[in-house]
Amino acid sequence: MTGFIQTKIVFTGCVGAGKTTAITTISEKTPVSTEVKPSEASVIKRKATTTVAMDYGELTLEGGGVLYLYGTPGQRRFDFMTDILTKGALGLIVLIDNTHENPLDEMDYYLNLNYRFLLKSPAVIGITHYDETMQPSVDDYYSALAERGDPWPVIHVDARSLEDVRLLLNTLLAILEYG
Amino acid sequence: MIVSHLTIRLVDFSESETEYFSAILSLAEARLQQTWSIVTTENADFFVLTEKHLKESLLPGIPVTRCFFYDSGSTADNNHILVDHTKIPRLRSLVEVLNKAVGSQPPETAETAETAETAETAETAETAETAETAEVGHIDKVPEDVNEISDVPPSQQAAYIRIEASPPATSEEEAIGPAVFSPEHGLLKAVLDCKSVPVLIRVNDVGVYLDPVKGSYYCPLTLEQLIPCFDRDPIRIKPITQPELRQVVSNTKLSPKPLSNLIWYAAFKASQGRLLLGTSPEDVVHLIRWPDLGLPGCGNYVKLAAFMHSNTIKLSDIPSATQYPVEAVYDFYNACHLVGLIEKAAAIELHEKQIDLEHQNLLRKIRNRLKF
Ligand SMILES: Nc1nc2c(ncn2[C@@H]2O[C@H](COP(=O)(O)OP(=O)(O)OP(=O)(O)O)[C@@H](O)[C@H]2O)c(=O)[nH]1
Ligand SMILES: [Mg+2]
Repeated sequence: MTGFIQTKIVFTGCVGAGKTTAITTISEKTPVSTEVKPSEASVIKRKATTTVAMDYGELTLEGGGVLYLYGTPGQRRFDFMTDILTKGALGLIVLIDNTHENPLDEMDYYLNLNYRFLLKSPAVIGITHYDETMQPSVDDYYSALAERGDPWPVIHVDARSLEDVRLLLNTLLAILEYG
Repeated sequence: MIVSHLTIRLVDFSESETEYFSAILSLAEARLQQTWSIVTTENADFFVLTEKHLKESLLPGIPVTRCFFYDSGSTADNNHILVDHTKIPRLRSLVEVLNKAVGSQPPETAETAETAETAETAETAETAETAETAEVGHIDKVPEDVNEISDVPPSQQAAYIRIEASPPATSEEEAIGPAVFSPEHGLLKAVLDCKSVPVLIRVNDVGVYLDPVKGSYYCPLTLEQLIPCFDRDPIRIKPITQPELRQVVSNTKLSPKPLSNLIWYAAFKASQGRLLLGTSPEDVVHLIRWPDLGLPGCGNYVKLAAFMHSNTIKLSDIPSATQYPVEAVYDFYNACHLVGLIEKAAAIELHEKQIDLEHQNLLRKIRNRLKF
């Protein structure tokens, strides 16, 4: 992997998966979020507000460095933001809302969307809303990943839980070190 | 102890035959001098074929010297696995045959026979029709001896299989603790043994329902609350039917939890730094899939998991490569092994990452920041 000096991690994934929530949960400064009323019909059904452009949060590191946390917008028409945001990122956290109609397809979609980035950088898959439904199961996600030939870990998390968001980030760091 | 790893391909086995075979084989493993895995690859150390292949010609590419046959009649030939009338291979014959096949003496001990007995008894009891439905997590004291149960009529007592405590530790074991981890006790053993029909397991005051076919368990207690049960005897196991299980689930409104999580966590806690029986520190191992990192305590093992996932390495080399204490490596390894996440390999394959100092520092700083 190149460009190690960049310290940025990107949260991506489907609408309502909890990208904005995860960044808000862990960010030490009030995160910047670009929430508006959604325009896509499928999104209007699910949420009152949605991210356009991006979410942005920060963690200060010892010695003055900063880890930037970016969240991509979930609405498909903003997919172009993904390339912009992942440029130079350490890795990707892909959040999938398990209550979505086709969560496995959603995972597929975001892994495909980030295909080029993931050739050289790692991802961790976080399944949210698992407390609401355990179907598909974590095993189902692994089967889908195996079919794609992807080695990424799958963790069921709650984006509102600091411990869970930390676990996602720590797992990404572990792959950066050893994966 | 000689430890080698065998692969076995089951040719033309139905899903249920495979399940039965695996169940018996995993019981046998404790008595084998090898560990084993059932593979679906073309090649394997041994091939097990159904009876029809005795009559028909063998499949191309399968060497006859490495074949065993299911034989429903009694057999005098050591190249046959004994099966009973329901085609279930019997433990003792399997141990003899496989040990013989790798050129070592079969450990023909009283213990082997005892285990064989247990397996056969279990099979009989599993098919027993009488099963009483009890409340999940029901808190009533389980008596020391099943025969002393006063509130269970004798006709129903037969439905329980009682797993006795293992023989007392030898003086050497008492002094230094047993060197190997053998899941022979409590809830963990019961869960590992349960492979075909739903059961109610009782350890002390705790009731746990298992559905091995769906890979679920039902219990109102958290994994952490179950810790005292993991390796505590005595336990009682009672086969129940699927309709009975459904009834209990609908009465209690309990939701299913993944059985693999129970096995992983129980093994992780019960190992206590000992390596699983049948594994040698010299074994070359690989983590084929990530465990559920959300399991209690597992979050501390992400680095170890990442390392074992991307490298195929001798177990004994992992502590120095990862800075995890050997006991922690063993606990993690055992747990992952027992849920089928470990593959043993013939050759070491390392994917050492070339990380410059700057990058290492960056990762360390982020990790430190995430601690608070
Ligand atoms: N029950 C439950 N709720 C969750 C979980 N994770 C997040 N949420 C909630 O789900 C909603 C997620 O919303 P956002 O964080 O805005 O989702 P997003 O991914 O940023 O969505 P877009 O910006 O529209 O793409 C919030 O109301 C969270 O509180 C979870 O694991 N379980
Ligand atoms: Mg958002």
